[in-house]
Formats: sequence, C-alpha cells, structure tokens
Amino acid sequence: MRNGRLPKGAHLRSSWSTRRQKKAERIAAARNFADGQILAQETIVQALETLVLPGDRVAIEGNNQKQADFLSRALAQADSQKLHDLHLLISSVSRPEHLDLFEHGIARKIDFAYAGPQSLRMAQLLEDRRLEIGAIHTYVELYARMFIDLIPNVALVCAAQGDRQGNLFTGPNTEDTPTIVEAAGFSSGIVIAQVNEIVDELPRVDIPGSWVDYVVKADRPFAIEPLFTRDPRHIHEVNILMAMMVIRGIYERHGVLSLNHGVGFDTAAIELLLPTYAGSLGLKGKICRHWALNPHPTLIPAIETGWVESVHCFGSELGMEEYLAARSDLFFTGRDGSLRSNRVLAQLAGQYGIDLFIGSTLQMDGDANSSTVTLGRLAGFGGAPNMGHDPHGRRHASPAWLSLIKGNSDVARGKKLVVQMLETYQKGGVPAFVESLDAVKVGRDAGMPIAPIMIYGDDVTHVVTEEGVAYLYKAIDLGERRSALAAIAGVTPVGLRHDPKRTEKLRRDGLVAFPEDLGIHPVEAKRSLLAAKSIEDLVAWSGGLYKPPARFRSW
Amino acid sequence: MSVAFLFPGQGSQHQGMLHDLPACASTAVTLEEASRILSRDIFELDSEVALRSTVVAQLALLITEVVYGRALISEGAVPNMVGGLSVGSYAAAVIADSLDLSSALTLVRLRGELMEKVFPHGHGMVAITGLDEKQVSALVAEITSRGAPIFLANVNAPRQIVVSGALAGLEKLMEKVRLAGGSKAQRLDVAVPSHCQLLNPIAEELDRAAAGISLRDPKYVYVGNRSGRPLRDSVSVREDLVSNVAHTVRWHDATTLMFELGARLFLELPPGCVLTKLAATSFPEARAIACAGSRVDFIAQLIRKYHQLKRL
Repeated sequence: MRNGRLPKGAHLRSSWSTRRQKKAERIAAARNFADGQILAQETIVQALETLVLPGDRVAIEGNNQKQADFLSRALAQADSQKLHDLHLLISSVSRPEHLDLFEHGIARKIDFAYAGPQSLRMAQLLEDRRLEIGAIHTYVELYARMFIDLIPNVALVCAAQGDRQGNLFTGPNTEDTPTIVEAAGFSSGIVIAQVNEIVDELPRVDIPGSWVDYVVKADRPFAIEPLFTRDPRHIHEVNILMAMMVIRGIYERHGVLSLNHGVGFDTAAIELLLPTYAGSLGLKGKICRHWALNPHPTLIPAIETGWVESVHCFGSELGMEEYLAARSDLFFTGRDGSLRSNRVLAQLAGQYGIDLFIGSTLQMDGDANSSTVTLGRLAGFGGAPNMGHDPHGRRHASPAWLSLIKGNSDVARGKKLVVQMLETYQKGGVPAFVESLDAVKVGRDAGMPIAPIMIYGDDVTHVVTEEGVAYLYKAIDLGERRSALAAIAGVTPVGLRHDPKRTEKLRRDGLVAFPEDLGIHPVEAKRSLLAAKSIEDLVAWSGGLYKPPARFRSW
Repeated sequence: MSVAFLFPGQGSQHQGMLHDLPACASTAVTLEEASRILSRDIFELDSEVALRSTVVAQLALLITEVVYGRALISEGAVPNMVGGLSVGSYAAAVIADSLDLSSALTLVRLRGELMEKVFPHGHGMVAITGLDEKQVSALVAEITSRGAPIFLANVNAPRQIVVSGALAGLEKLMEKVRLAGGSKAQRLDVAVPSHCQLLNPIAEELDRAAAGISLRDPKYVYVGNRSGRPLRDSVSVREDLVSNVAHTVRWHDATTLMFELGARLFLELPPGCVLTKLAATSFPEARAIACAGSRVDFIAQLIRKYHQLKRL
C-alpha cells in the first residue's frame, strides 16, 4: 500500500452499521410477539425463534446464585430446525436445560467458567462430540472476552422487576446483569430480560431501560440458590484448629486488613472465631476490617461485635436481605435500602484491592498446585482463581502486601497473600496431597490446551493443614518450598517425603510452624470457641433479621 | 423437581417377594400375563429353593418391579426418568413403555438360561470398597491374564467397584486390594462373571433373539447401564438391554446423570434397597426411598408432591 494507494482488488466497505441494521430487522420481525418493550409470556418460544438466529452468540445469565431460567427453559423448547449452532456464553452451567440445548441440537459451542452441577453431562456431551468448548474461563475472563472477541448477539438476563420502558430492578442480586447487558446492549445485540413482575414504579433502577430491548414476565420467580450458607453445626474441631492457626500465624503476623474468604467450613470457622478467639488475642481493629465477600451468614457475629467496617458483595445470599438492608453502614445499598451487589466489580476488588485470599481445596500436589477437578467430570473454575492469585499489575502498598517482600532490591514489590487450607486426608480416607492432580488427566482426556488448575502453586504464599502452616513465600528455591509443604502434608504420598531433620531447620527458619510454634494447643480447638454453633444462633445474633431458607431451619 | 425410578438387579430377590405385591387392578392383569407367557404359576417362583436359579431370580425381579411400577403409574405417579441395574433395566424399559412385558419375560428368561449355561464353574465376582476406579483399573490391568482374565464389572459408587472374571485372577486381586489401600474385597455369591466381555456370546444371542421384537421410544428418559447416557429412542434402549450383560455397568454415572437432569426423588422399586443407599450417599441434597414395604398410595402421593415442586 505505497503512496496511500489501496492494493489492487481492494474495495471499501459500503456500510459500517450492519449490526444495527440487522438488529432492527430482527425487532421488526418479532413485532407480533411484543407490545412495546413487553414480550408476551405465552409466545416466548416463538419470540426467541425470531429474535435469535442460527449461529448467534447467546449470553444466558446464570451464575452460581441466580439464573435466567425462564428464558433458558424457553430457548430449550425452540425448534432445532429453526434454531441451531448457537454459541452459548454461560458463566455457571447449573441447570439441566443448559445442556438440553446441546442434546436437542440447538447449541453447538460453549464458553463457560463453572459447570459443577452439570459436570458429568458436560464431559459426556464433549466425548460424544455434541458440544464444543471454546474455553473454560474464570468469571472475570469470560466477561472480559464478552467485550473483546466474544461479543454476544443476544443476552438473556433476569431481574426482580421491570417496567414498560425496560428499566430493571434487580434487588440485592444485581450480580452479573449490568455487565452482560452492557456487552450486548452497546454492540447492537438484543437484550431480553425476564422479570418476576412488571410494575409501574421500580424501587430503584439497576439497569436503565435504554440498555434493554424487551422485558417478559416469567412463569415463576427466577431460580436462586443459597450457596454461601454454612451451618455451624457441621464445623468440627479440625476446622477450628486450622482457623486458629490462620488467625495467629497469618492474619496477626501479616496484619491482614482486607480480604476475601472462599466458601467452606474452614473459612466459616475463621469467621466465627473472630469475636471469640481473635478477640481474646486483642486483634479487634488490627485484622479483617474490609471484605470482598458474599454476605456469609457466619460473618454476622463478627459484624455485630464491631469487627467489620465494609463489605462489597459479588451477589446476595438468600435470607440475608433484611439484615443487609439494616446494616447499610457496612454494605453497599441503593436508595431503596436493599443491597447492590456486582460480581465483576467485586472480583476486580478481590484481585487488586485486598491483602489476602484464603480458600479450601480438595487436592494439592507437591508444588502446591491445587484443583477441585475430579476424573470424568468437567467442572471448571468459578471465581476462586480470580482472587487466588497475585495480580502483578498492583502498585499500591499495604502493610500485609509489603510484609511478603524478600531480599532488599531497590525495586522489590510486595505480594498478595494467597492461602490454601486443606486437611491432609479427605472424607473416606482419600489423601489430599497427591503426586499428580486428577486435573492433569482430566485436561489431557478432554483435549484441553492446559490442565484445569484452580490455583497455581507459584501464586500460593501459605498452606495450612491440621499439621501446621507452611510459609511457602519465604522459600529460597523450589527444593525448600517442596520441603516446607511436605512438612505439613501428614502421611500422604507428599508428606512421606519429608525429612525430620530438615523440618526442624525449616521450623527454626520460620518456613514451617506447628500449632505449638504459634502458641496453640490442639486441645484448645473446641466448638465452644465458635461465636455461633448453629443457624439458630446466627438468627439470634442478627436480632431476627436473618431469615434462613427452609432447608437450613431445623427448629 | 424430577422423579427417578430405580430398578434393582440380581441380589435383591428374597423369599416371598411375589406374595407381597400391592393389591390393585393392574397387579392382577400383570400377573396373569406373566403366568400365561411363562406357562407356570408365578407364586411358585419366590420360594427359597426356586430363587437359587438365576433364571427364576431374574424373572421374579422383573415381575415384582413391573407390578409395583405399574401400580404407581395407575395412581398417576409417573417418573421423569428410569434406570435399572443390570437385569433391572428390563423392568425399566417396560415401565417406560419401550418394551412389552411379554418380550421382556422372554428375553430375561433367555438371558438367565444363557448365564447359567455358559459359566458353570470357575468364575465369579468380587466387590471392592475403598479404592477408586483408577486404582482398581490399575490392579485389574496388572493381574489379568489370558488364562485367568478379570474385568471391571460395576462402578456402583466412586469407591464401590465390582470386578468379575476367573476365580484365579479374582483371588490374586483380593490379596492386592489391602496392600493398595482398599478397605474390603468380598466374593459375591454368584457363579457368573457378569458385565464383562466373557459374556459377549450371551449378548450376541440376546441380540439375535431381540431381532424380532419391536421396541418403542421410551416415554420417560431411560438411562443406560453401559454408557450412563440418557437414551431417548428405541434403538439405543434395545442396544443397552441386549448388551449390558457384557459391559461395565456405570451405575454411579447413570444416577449422577439423573441428578444432573434434575432428579431430586430417587425411588427404588421393590424388592431392593441397595440402590437407595447408594443414591442417598451420593446425593445428600436429594431424597432416596426404597418402596419395599410401603403402601403404593403413600409413595404415589409423595411422587405427585415432587412433580408440583417444579423448581428444577
């Protein structure tokens, strides 16, 4: 292309608004199913057969909490002669009809983050070549791609209420809706929202109507799961011992002020030990003040005793709505008083804004790589890997971040604390520390370009087992790292490698701490330390504002 | 919420089971049809002596399961999906209206006869607990030999696996299970090495016998033994019925698939209770109930209640 001339044969594009034009055509074709921006519930299947075209990229809102299930069920009823080869973008494949779409030949390809509740079918359909996987992402990656090269043609989302102008009110479960709507709505995609009810006046506007093409009243309220509730009754003494070690050996030692907890009984135990055990150590105000966290009911006692200054939430949690509304000093709330959650922003905050991520895992290898993936299943990742890593782009300092600097280079930088908790043996006598992760074989069997590792060992700074804490970040080389991990891996294949003499040196050098090195006697790890021992106790702490779903009520 | 009917396999039969059937109109019709096709008195099939025969045990199970399943359906209590373990899959196919009872009886009788005939001695099955499929497969691969072949027969739960084959191989396997970290290896009281390729000739004969039988697409999702896949057409159901005897039964996958498809009530038809325990352990969020000993109207009411709870 010399002298500004075009190569021979090249010609200029005649239109730069084809996407907008095609959208207008689809909307015109669907006019019989719509009254203004309202789609009729009875003809939703035909409406979708008209508004969605074969080969479209369709984002279906579905995470591990709320699901646009009326729209996904309707899409699965479409005629596969009319609608086929769809490319689905679903963050959490949680519902049977998500994969019915592949069995029925309506969808062909999928990009997703998590498929735990459908992980066998996912593996079967892949093996039977009825489903292609674009990639298995973390949540943030999938949303990032929706703004780069996986821009949706259609977005199917859900909200609590909508009005005739398309404005949406999500209530406490805003979660992913604004992000998905933005990706489709501003790229001439079609945005369809199912709502529990259509009203004249919304309590607040979470998504402006000009971003939304259609609203349809669902046959029943959108599906939602209480995924972050852990009944303190099931916290046992090993969880408590590990929680004590985390508080003393990590939170206190590094002065961890801001953090994210994964979901599980290990982290629930930490939350319930803050007012009691950590309080007795005089740590109030010195640790755990700011959180990127879903509203875990087990955080209620720490909140009520004044430990917590702020919490930003990915989503809400069933039963916590009234409690959250009544604690607006701590939680982000709208003008209507109810919580405003936002998954992508909370994930971003959980990457860059906090000192520490801690979570439980099921399997770890000798290099501290971990995964919850098991053989014959394609479960994916979810959100943990987003926060379970050290974001190298970070520039702001905090005492905890700085405390991980090694050596004395002029350009040293700190590190986020990434902590993994696991008992050396899982239920049923299965060793948690293994020579090779199941994830490696799963990745190979499924033809994935990389093994589905949840948290990479080189991001992990600390590992906690019932045996002790390994301060992996302090290791000077890989050999020392492996030895420190082996020292707390019990009688597993990895633990059996440890050399008692070397372990003693590692303890002296501060790379390994056993409970007694932290001033903890395992016999002190009693359930009596828990600030709440049951769901009833949590309700009592909340002054009756927490209303647990039926399945958690035993009284 | 969806409902799955589970149909137990051999091992669940017990004395007197045909004398304890629900008293309803469909029972009489089914028993009369079975008597006519087998040309014998159905009530003689469930004595202790009679049940020692593989043929009789399999037929008695088929009849009991079909009677109970039909009794439920006549009360308007239908499943969303069905699955049977081994011979139980024939009753599953009948209840899904894919296979006629008469054809099922003929095929099951032939299946039992062939199983009794082909392996008179020297073979068996061993149940292993405490090792996973990867570990058991590795042991099987290490031990199996041309003279004494052994095979993975059933994956009933992630750590409850059955191996079948030649006794010499099975004995070696039992010795190694402990060393490999397993908690138990127990000989089952069966002489036939079911669910392995030694039974290919039986599968071939069943295939020929089924050639003249016409099947229909199942009314409810039929979950296959061999693949652990949802089967929705007559051809795949037929293939599963005739061939499952010679292939590994992926029971854990089959029930996991049901759970993923939305099953939250697992009902095991009489006379079994083993499948209930497996489902209860694997899926704590679902309910698993053995119908044996319960009134049909009570179970039917429970099923209707689950159909009303349409959350999944």
